[in-house]
Amino acid sequence: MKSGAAGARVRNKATIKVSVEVMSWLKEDFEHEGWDRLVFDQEITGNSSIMDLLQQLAKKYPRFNQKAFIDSKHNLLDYSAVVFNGTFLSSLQNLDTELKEGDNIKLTPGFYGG
Amino acid sequence: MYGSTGKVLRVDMTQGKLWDEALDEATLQRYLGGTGLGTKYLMEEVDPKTDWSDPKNIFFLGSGILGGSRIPGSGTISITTKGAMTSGATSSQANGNFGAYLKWCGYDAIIVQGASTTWKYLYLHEGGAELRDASKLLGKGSWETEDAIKAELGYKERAMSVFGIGPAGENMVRFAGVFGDRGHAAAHNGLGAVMGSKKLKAFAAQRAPNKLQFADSEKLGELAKKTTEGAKAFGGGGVFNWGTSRVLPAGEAAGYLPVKNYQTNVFPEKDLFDGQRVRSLFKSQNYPCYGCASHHYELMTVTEGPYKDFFGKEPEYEQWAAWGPQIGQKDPGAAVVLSNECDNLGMDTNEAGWLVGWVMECYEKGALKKEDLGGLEMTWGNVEATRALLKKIANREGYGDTLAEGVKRAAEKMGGEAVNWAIFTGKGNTPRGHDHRGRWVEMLDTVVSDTSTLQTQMLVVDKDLWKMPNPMDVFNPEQVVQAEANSTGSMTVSDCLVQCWFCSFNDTKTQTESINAATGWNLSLEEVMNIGRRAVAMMRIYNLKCGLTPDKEKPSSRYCSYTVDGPNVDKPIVPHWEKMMDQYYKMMGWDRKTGMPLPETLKELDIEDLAK
Repeated sequence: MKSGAAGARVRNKATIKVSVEVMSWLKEDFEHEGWDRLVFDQEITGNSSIMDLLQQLAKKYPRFNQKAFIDSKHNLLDYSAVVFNGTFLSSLQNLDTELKEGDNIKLTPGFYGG
Repeated sequence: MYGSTGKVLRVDMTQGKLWDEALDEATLQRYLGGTGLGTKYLMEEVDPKTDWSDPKNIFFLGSGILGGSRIPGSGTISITTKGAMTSGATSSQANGNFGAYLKWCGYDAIIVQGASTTWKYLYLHEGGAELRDASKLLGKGSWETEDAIKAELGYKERAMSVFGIGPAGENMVRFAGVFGDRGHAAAHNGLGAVMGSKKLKAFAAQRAPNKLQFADSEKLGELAKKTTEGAKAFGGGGVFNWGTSRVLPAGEAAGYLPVKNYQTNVFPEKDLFDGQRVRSLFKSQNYPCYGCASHHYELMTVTEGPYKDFFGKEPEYEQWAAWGPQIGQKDPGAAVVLSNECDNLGMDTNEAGWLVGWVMECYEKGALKKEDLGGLEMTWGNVEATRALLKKIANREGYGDTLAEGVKRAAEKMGGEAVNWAIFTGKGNTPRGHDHRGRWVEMLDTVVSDTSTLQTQMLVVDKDLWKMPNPMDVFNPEQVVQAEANSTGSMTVSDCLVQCWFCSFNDTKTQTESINAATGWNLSLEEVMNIGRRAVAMMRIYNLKCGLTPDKEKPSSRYCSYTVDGPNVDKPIVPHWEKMMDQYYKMMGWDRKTGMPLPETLKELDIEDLAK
């Protein structure tokens, strides 16, 4: 996976589409109350990183923003883990990975417990 | 004394005698109760060479200094004894009401010694305690035992708390647990087998009037609210609102869901087990523990499928995992049945799930045949065969007698390639219901643990306080060791206080404030943290004397095997293991060869005399 500081990239104005699945109780923070799967396509500017995508989602969904980014006591990875194209991302550094058309992102509850 | 009854109840099963013993304030300040206090008594009274089934073994069941207060999760109990699985010290907790009722009956803890020749149960009430005849309870499951004792003594559902053993405990199945308050379990390391060895069927405590006194009740009330707010917030509030049941599909996505005995990480039916779906589909009702406002614990009736109308408790995540993906079973209704029947027979679901998965793999590969198993066809997902096998194990019938010894012993008895299919640690215990190949810190913890189950983990609200990497790369060997070593003691503080983890989330600062408000003491944060670390070190010292030496701190080959699919294919722990252990021992201040805490570690924890 290619990684690097998102701010250092040259922005590609073209948009790409990625697939996002929000799992378990995180769905409530995306204003989805049912138990059925929450899967949607999300458009984002080319060259964006996974973290850029999360920030974009945070602007749209205030509860996700509150829990993932505003509460300084809890780290993002406590609240939400990220599976990228079927691979579990274990560090914040991995969230700098650049997105491509058709990428698949799953957001799962944070990584804690027995 | 504020916060405490100042007494423990002594029970001699051999002589049928009961007496009160004073519990002084200095001892409680040093241990808080629960796991720490139980370990103190175990070290002082049970020779490490004593067999777990010897009448000389003691069985400690205790509350803690917050037990029966307004602090959420303070109805929990902690049990300490020399366990049947590892033949070493153990500590296992069960939520519910018993911890509060115990203290309201006038005791901080019960210590059982000796062994009876006839079956008894212990009845605690406002006026004292007595041993009663349990012969009519023999063969009854944990729910039936609760019903029968309440009926005999004339108590309504919540007017009494009962914890006891099922047939598995009576037959000293090595992984028999202690169950009560409708399915809560202190399941690990054969606590139920120890009760069976003493012919003690159950503990029953009346909900007596609460006469406990606390130093600052107003402050304690404020801290109770703060604790509840903390539980609501932690991890986005998922456990508070949904219990543990909603993580199963996410567990598959992240690669920590055990599927078919670690042979794959793919479980296409995962969404059928989504906790919200199941709660919507089946009939469920909240059944909270003492002092808890969360929706963690529910009772459930299956409303469709072949097990329609079955009533029991909602399985915890680990029960869904064991009786769904681990055995290749796709019907949530059947998982409700298997979870409750395993509980009712009185067996640890974790061990039973690994055991049945191993049997199914042996059956698939021809190492076990139908005729070996009393005619059972142990194909993946065969619910009826699993129900029958669980009964055979609980009753030690046929091959069930071998399986009743647990995964490690059964596999080693069979020998050959089948040992490589079994999931266990060198100490004789098995992991919680996860695929720890995707959770390195839990694998390390499970293997080095002296409780026989998780001893510490990432369930810590204040990572900075415990010097955990934050954020943490869960596949970075150095960070994993740092997290494990530095947070050692965090969960044990909760287990000494005997407060439910899902209420406290091991928030040591709020716990310290609560201790001081309850007792009028002025313990510092560091002193409370050291109480947890001290209890861990004490168990280690005791277990080393029991023969649980560093060479046994290894995962079985399947437990640490390479994953073949799923999200963690390229992340084997094996190449890092020895270096991680070296680093872990160094950070813990333990001797790498002997396992013993180094003199400076002992001095820091004020237990220099115990290592002799």
